[in-house]
This record gives sequence, C-alpha cells and structure tokens, in this order.
Amino acid sequence: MALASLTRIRGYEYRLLLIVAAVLAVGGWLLVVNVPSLAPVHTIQELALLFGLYALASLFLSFRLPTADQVLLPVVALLTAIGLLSIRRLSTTALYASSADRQVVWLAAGIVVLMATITLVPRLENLKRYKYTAAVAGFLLILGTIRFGVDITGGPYRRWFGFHGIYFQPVEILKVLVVIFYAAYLEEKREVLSLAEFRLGRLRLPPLQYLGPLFLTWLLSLLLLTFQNDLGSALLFFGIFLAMLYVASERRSYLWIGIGVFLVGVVLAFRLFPHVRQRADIWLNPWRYAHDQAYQVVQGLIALANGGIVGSGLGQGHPGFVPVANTDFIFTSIGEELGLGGGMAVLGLFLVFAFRGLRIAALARDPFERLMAVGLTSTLAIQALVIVGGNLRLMPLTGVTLPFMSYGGSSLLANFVIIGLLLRISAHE
Amino acid sequence: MSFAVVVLLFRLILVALLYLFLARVVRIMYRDLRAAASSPAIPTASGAVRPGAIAQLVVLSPGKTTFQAGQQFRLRNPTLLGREPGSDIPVDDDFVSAQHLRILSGPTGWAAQDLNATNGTRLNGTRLLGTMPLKSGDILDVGRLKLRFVLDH
Repeated sequence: MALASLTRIRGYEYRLLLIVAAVLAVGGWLLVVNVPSLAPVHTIQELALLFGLYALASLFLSFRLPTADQVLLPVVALLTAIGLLSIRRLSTTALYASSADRQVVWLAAGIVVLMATITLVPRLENLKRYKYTAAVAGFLLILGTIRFGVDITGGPYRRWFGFHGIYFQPVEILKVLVVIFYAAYLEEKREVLSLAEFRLGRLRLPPLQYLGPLFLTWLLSLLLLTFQNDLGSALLFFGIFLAMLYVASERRSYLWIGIGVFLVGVVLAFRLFPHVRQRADIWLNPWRYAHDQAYQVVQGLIALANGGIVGSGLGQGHPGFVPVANTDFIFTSIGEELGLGGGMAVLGLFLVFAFRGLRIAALARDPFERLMAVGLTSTLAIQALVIVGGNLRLMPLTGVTLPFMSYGGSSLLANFVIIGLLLRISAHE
Repeated sequence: MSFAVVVLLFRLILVALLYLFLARVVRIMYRDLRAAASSPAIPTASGAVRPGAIAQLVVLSPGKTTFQAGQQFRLRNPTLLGREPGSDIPVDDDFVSAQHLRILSGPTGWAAQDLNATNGTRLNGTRLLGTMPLKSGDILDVGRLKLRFVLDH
C-alpha cells in the first residue's frame, strides 16, 4: 500500500472518532477514580487499544474504500466504547469478572472481521450466487443447534455450540445468511411480487406460489420459538422479512398480510405454549412476580429509576444487581449510571445508524444491493428495538443482544460483518 | 473545588460528549440531504464521489428541451436519463424514451448503456449498442439533445 493510493482523507470520520477518543478518556478516568478495585493501568490500556483498533479501521478504509460512508464506523465505535466501559465497570461483580477482557479480544477480532469482509467481498453481486447455499446452511445451522447444541445458562434450550470453552451462538450467523437469501430471492421475484393476482374484497393478494419463502420463514420462526424458546430471534427474522418484502414489492398489502400472519402466530403461541403465556403475564404484572420470574425486569426498572436524569455516575451505581446485566440488560446499567441523558443518547445513536443505513439503501447501485442494505440495517435496528423495548417494559422481554454493546463474541462478529457489507455497499467508486 | 465536584463535572462532560457526537452526525446528515435535494444528479457530501474524478454531462445543444447550452450535470453512479420525471436527468423531448440511457461507472471507467430506447442514442455519431465505454470529450445524441461527456481529473 503506497501512500499514493491514499486517495481520500476521511475527514468527517476522523473528527467523529476524536470525540469517541474523548468519551473513552473521560469514561476511563471516571472508572479508575470511582472503582478502586479496577486495575487502573490495565483499564486505560484496553480503552486505548479499542481506540487504536478503530483508528486502524479508519486508515484501512482511507486506502481500500475511500468513498464509503463516514458516519457508520464512528457510530459503531461509540456504541462499542460505551458498551466496553459498562462491561469493564461490571467486571467488579464476580460473575462478570472475565467478560471485559474477553470482550476486548472479541472487539479486536471484530475489527479484523470488518476489514476481511470488505476485502473478501469486492462485489456484493458475488453473494447472489450463494443464495440457496445460504438458505440451506442456515437451516442446517438451526437443526444442528437444536440437536447438538448446549445451553450455557444451564436451562433446557440449546442455543449455543460449545468448543473448548468458547461458545458460539449460531443464530447470529443466521441473521446474515437470511438477509443474503431474501435479498437474492426477492430481487429475482421482484417483478412478479409487485403484480396483483387475486382480489379478496378490498385486499389485493399477491401471486401465492411466490410466497413460499414467507411461509418457510414463518415455519422457521415457529421452530425457533418452540424448540429454543427464542422469541426474540423469531420476532427479529419475521421483522427482517417484512421490511425487505415491502421494499422489494413497494406494496403495502404485504405488510398487512404479514402483520395478520404474525397476529395469528401470536394467538396460537399464546394458546399452545405455557412459557409464552407466562412471559405475557410477567410483562403485564411484573411486581406480582418481583421476587421470582420477573426479578430481572423489576431490578432493571429499579436501576433505571435509580439513575434518574443525569445518572448515578459511571462506577457509582449498582448495575450488578440486575441479572445478566452485561448482555441482555446492558441498557439498564447504562441507564442507571449515565441516566436518562445517556440512555437517550444511545437510542439516538441507533436511530442515526438506522437512518444512515436506509440512506445507503436509497443510494445503492442495484436492487440486490438495495435489498441487502435494507435487510442488514433492519436487522440491527429491530434487534435494538426489541431488547430495549423489553428492558423498558414497553413490550414483553425477549432475549436478544443489544448490537455492539452487549457482551458476546458471536453477536459482535456477526454485527461487524454487517457493517463491513454496509460500508461496501455505500462506496461508489 | 472539592474532588467530588470534579467527578460530577466529568460525569456531565461524559454525557455531553455523547450529545456533541450526535449533533455533529446530525449536521453531516443534514448537509448530505441538502446536497441531495439541491440537484438530483449531484452526489452527496460525505459518501459518493471522489473529488479527483468528477464526471459531468455538458449540454452542447438543448434541442427541444428546456436545458441551457453549457448547462452541466454531475454524474453519480448510475445516472438515468429519460422522459420519466423520476429520472436522474429528466429529458422532456418526445424523441426520448421513458428510460432512455444509463451512464454508469465500473472498475474500468465510465460507460453508457442503451436501455432499448426507441430512437436510440448516438455515441460520437454511431448508434450506441448495449454498453459502451465513455472517454472524456465523447458526444452523446439523446433525441434532439446533444451532450458532451467530460471527466475532470
């Protein structure tokens, strides 16, 4: 890489990353001052390392993909920075002691994966060829997990693959595979899907034979839901499909059909599965179960209330009281220590991400890239919506990770692949 | 000033930095939107086009259109020319098809692609068939409109 190939200084990105550096510096100082049990040098080193990784990624983009979007990387950097500060802070709780060190390793791996994605996928079109491979691989992944997986929480639901102490959540990879398959399939069938064939009263129905994937997806969601008790992922995959179908067909009737199918599914699940009923009950009456099933939700609410508007201060609250505070409930620990102000800023970052992702879709060169961008963006946006909604008790709690903030390797790696693909789509040479 | 006050101050600064970041991002996005709105064929500020290589179409003779001779259109990838109002460069000429011509940029450079337009496009006087490469100075005849393709380095 000669310096001559540096065709563009990414000025916006660079200046935004400097603010991320300031956040890391101030946050790191507060952690060191407020949490005496943390090793100060180690903490500062790892935060500096995180910044170095993003500086490296930015430099990489200046050389390899100079015209790529300049907002995406800093937004991700800030989200992971706030996430790592919270996870490091939680490492004082014995249960989460090793998670911050592991998270740093995963973040470094994530940046490598981001750069590898951009290098290995020079043209998004290449992915189109693998659409059925992606679909079959995804299906096998699910079946494989149900059959051979383990449950690291000690419960009966197998959602992880274990390998010498490293646990991997296949559903995270599935997100990307599913988006590739849908984008390729919908791009092919786009024309026929936007034609109306049957009329049912005021509703115009699409040619039904092309809706095979819709029902397949529904089936897959139900599979996940039944065997894995993974309501969050089921909801996520359904949301991705609806968003992509709507963009591909530009027809609102699909949304209504989709929502109808979803409601039927909800009613059926409510009737058939006791754990779905129980979850709805916990959502509606958390205080009745405050000491058992709803303990987590209730502790989360107390943490948020305790934070107030400006928060208790980084290292000055008690976020460790909430079970799984470093994954599914990381938003409440941010809400407690950074307050309503910090929580709203995090939501603002996700909003900016969604807006930027859809803009990349709008400017995309061809329909396949557009559908990919819509699918990938909605994946992360819906995921953030579902888990924060669950944390805040705006909807029943379903366990998915908060993208880029929660502790967890498979989730981070998959999300960095998504960012790599979005950056690739956004670059117009 | 006691130490507790300093800590409080830095707590507020931490959250304020998050909003500073958001404000900066919103400003960039606003600029992009403004740039996109002000001219349909002009690429946006922080993404699309490398400043080193600006591709333009210059109107040589407007024919029956409302364009001015000498008017310039910056090209983004791809740019669609056609009678359809939604085209990147809408050409109001009866001899022009709804989707007439696409200008795009690939790894080997810029190219013009015929979209099976009824009356076709002429590239330097000869009929454009399929996709043909463009070099700076090429003349395109789209209906009765005459354009020059210019690549600035």
